[in-house]
Amino acid sequence: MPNPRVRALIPLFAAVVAVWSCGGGGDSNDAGQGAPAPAPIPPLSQPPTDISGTAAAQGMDYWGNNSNANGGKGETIDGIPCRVMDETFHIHTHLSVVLNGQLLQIPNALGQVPATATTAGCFYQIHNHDASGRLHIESPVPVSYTLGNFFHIWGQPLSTTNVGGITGMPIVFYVTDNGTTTRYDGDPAAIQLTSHRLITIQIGTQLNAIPNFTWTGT
Amino acid sequence: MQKNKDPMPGVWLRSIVAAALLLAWLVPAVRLAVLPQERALALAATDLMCLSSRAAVLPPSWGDNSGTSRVAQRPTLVDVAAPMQRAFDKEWQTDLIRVLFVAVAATALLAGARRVGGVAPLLVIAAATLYLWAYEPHWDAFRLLGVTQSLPLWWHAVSQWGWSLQAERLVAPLTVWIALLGGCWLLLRAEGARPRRAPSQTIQAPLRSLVTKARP
Repeated sequence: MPNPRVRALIPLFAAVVAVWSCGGGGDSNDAGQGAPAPAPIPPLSQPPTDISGTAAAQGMDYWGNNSNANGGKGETIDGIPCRVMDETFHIHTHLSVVLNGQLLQIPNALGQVPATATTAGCFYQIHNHDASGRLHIESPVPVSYTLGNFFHIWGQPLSTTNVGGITGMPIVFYVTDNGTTTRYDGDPAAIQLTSHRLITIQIGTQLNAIPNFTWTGT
Repeated sequence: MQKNKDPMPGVWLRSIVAAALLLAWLVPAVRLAVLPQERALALAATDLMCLSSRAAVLPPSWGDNSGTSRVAQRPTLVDVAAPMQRAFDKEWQTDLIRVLFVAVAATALLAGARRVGGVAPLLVIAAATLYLWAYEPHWDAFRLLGVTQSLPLWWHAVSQWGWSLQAERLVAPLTVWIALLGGCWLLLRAEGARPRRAPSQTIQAPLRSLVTKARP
């Protein structure tokens, strides 16, 4: 027979187990009332990282140096030609892909077709010059391109369930304009690449902070 | 009776250490196939594209020496590559010397000759240290396993890297340490197994004769 003091604690223990198993001990305050509320939008990390000019690579290498094997080779993609650069219209957007809390590196030289001894090189109007995640949109006239256009040029898939071949984990898209972050629940391929916009793709675990980058110019 | 020990024990161990060293240096060795001129052209192509939006990158065959057309004033790939050639010559020669040194170290270790037996582990240690100093091994491939938390996803990333990145990030970080630690271990074994002048024979014999002489 157990000690009377221990016997007295049994109902208390049972109550604690019951409450815990019903979710009362967690942070989901709407248990049993349908889908859980979306996680709060993480704050912007401070201070922002300056990636002006040709910046250092940001994040861990995931895609390597051959991820654009299925990407643009100079042909027109989504109506975007590959030509010699014309910077009359020149803006930048930043793309962050974060997998389980780790920022992944956007490979360098996407949207570029290098010159060879026999062929001239060209740039797509969306491209990058380093592995900082900053995307250049350069065109003779003002243009409005999307994240889907960039992924087509890169040659990687983009959807709500597949980002650059990463699947099987929850994916959340955030868009930050002028310091204000919003969660984007639409088609990610339609996200506009606008000046100084920060696009963050969260894959897997919830972010503690949105990666924050700044640069001089547009 | 004194057993005459081989100063370089374990042919299998020596082979493993030598193979590890050669695997670590595989990418720098293969990179030697890209000659200085080709390296300069590759960099020139990248630089030209990034430097100016208005300077068209022209293949050498387009070079017009007449000087009359506008096209002739634009730099060709060869023009831009020429000043870089000297730096790449030096880089290529340095790479060649390093790779030759590694080949000597591995050969000495594999040969296991008694004359070079004591030196070979030192050469291997030096070659492995040189790799660590010159190339700073990447551990991203292994850290990525923790980030993806999934073997198929990890393989999805690694499989699209290409053989050189895989060799550099998956193989070299491990094999260079195998070579370094193996070299140290072989050095210790060689020191331990080295035949020493037996002090007991040289000193004890005269002592023994003295003792026998002193006996009444």
